[in-house]
Amino acid sequence: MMQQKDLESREYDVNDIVEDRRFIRCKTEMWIIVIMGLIQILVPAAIIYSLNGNGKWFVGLPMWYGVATLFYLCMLVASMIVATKVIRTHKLDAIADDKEES
Amino acid sequence: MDLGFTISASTQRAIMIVFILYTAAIVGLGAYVKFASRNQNSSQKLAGFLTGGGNLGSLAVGLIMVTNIMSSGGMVGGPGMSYGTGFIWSLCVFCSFINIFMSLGSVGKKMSIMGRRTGAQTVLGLFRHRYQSKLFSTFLGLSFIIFLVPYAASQFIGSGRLFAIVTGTGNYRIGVLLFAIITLVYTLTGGMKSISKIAVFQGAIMIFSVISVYIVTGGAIMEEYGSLQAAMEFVQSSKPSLLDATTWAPLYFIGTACIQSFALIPLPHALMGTFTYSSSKTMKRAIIVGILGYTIIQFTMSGIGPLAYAVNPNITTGDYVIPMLLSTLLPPAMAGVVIAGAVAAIQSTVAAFFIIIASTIVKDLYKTLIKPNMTMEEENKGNTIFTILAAAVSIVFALFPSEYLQTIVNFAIGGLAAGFFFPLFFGLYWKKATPAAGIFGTISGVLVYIVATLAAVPVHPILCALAVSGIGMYIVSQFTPKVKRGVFEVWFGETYDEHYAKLS
Repeated sequence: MMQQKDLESREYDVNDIVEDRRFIRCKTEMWIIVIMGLIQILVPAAIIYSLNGNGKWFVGLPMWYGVATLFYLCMLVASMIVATKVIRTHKLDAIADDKEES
Repeated sequence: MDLGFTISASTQRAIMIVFILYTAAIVGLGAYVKFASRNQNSSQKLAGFLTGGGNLGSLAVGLIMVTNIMSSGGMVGGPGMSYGTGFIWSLCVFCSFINIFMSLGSVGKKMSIMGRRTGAQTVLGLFRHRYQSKLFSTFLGLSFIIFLVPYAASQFIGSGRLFAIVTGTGNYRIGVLLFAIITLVYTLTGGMKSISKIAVFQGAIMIFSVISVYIVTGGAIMEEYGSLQAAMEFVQSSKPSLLDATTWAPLYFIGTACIQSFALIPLPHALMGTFTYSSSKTMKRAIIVGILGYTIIQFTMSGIGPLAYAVNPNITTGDYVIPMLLSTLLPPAMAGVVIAGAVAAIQSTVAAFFIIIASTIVKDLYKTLIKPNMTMEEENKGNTIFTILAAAVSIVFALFPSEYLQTIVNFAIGGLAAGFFFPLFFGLYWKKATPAAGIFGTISGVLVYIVATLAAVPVHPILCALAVSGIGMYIVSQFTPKVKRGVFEVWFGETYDEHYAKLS
């Protein structure tokens, strides 16, 4: 009865509950990816609007376009590295088990 | 009608033949799925329809994500936009190279685990559990239906017009009916399970066709100008805006780039991929497949506009860029494959829409609000009926488009994204997000996006909507009650009581 009342309660400290370690890791990975997403938008914007109009070419294309495209392709490689080396392969079962998948 | 180019009769015939072969292949694949699942029970059929069974391979998952997100915008509208607007549009779209990494990487594992904990087979079902609110899922569900049906119609219109031009029939309605019926047939044969088989085939065609178009365009440029720079110098002298980044202000570029990257994460047809795999290794490999496939298609298609301008500066409408390139530069049979690639992009996206609309109506609205004891057999029948209905309504909208259709479509992606971005991320990762905040976040996101668009505010509407939704959710969460501890433990705890994991 006491246990059921506790589970029905809305007055609890969220930090009291022992968190599934997989979720902690998922959140860390989420932040890494969000930061990469912001870099992916802001750095090219800086490249584009600082190089635009300088009259120079880069591999036959306007420099602002060519350099920004190269940056996007570098981010592509970076994201593949993060996907393979940083994102952990947890089991996706309902029960908490943060061992790596076999 | 002056298109700015002509398509020979032999090319039109070849396109029709290749298109018939392509159609036969995908209908055949759909029939195979139907035959292979003939002995399945209702529960397995339902799981197959909604999630492909939840155990798809990495190639299928990756290409489902690519083909679901890539629509006529990627294969037809995108080249058209870059033809008319220039390289600044291309770079905006290049932000989406890594969007499958961003969606699966940021939410894929936890969504999959939570799907197993709660038994949810739809995104709405899962987050109705998180926010313990039927109002939340009802509003979001209605948003899905209101936005996705016209969006499907607009896809059919685009494909119909493409078909009319390349086949010389002059009547886009034939194309609309043809594509819609084919899409409906393979969606009905097995839902996500059909799509998973067909996505591999369609993805391969799309990748092959975009590479072909890009290579021949490059060849035509080298033949006419001798170098890429010489071609760009022609574009510079003829239509300098195509090579000028100031065509768009920096904040507008950033806002549009957000739509192309972050805003694609919470879209229902992107998130449905998170229910289709059962291991994180599969998810990681799917990310690699998705990134590579998406990059190849977007790099070639969205970057091709100014190059196509150098080949032919006389195209009257941007949407004719791909038809012009394939009819001018490719052998007729190859032109047919490219058209099949464009059609594949449209059909795969619309098929995902139909599944989402049907499951939303049957599972997330009717079963949740009116008939909770619906059997799985009834759900399967309901999914069939509402898939057909969604297709029928989309077809009617496409055959008789009104001025409001495009208006609704303009709101579709941004509105859906603004309405679910913060409820998704806060729901998954912020322990203090309350049910009232979830409701506020979704309603305010959609409404602010619509109002900001209509009011033509100087800041991109998506930025306004996300700011209101996110800040609002944070503030509302400070003053409203949390979910019950039992539900909280399901979503964040190492251990939890199964009773609280059940969906309402």
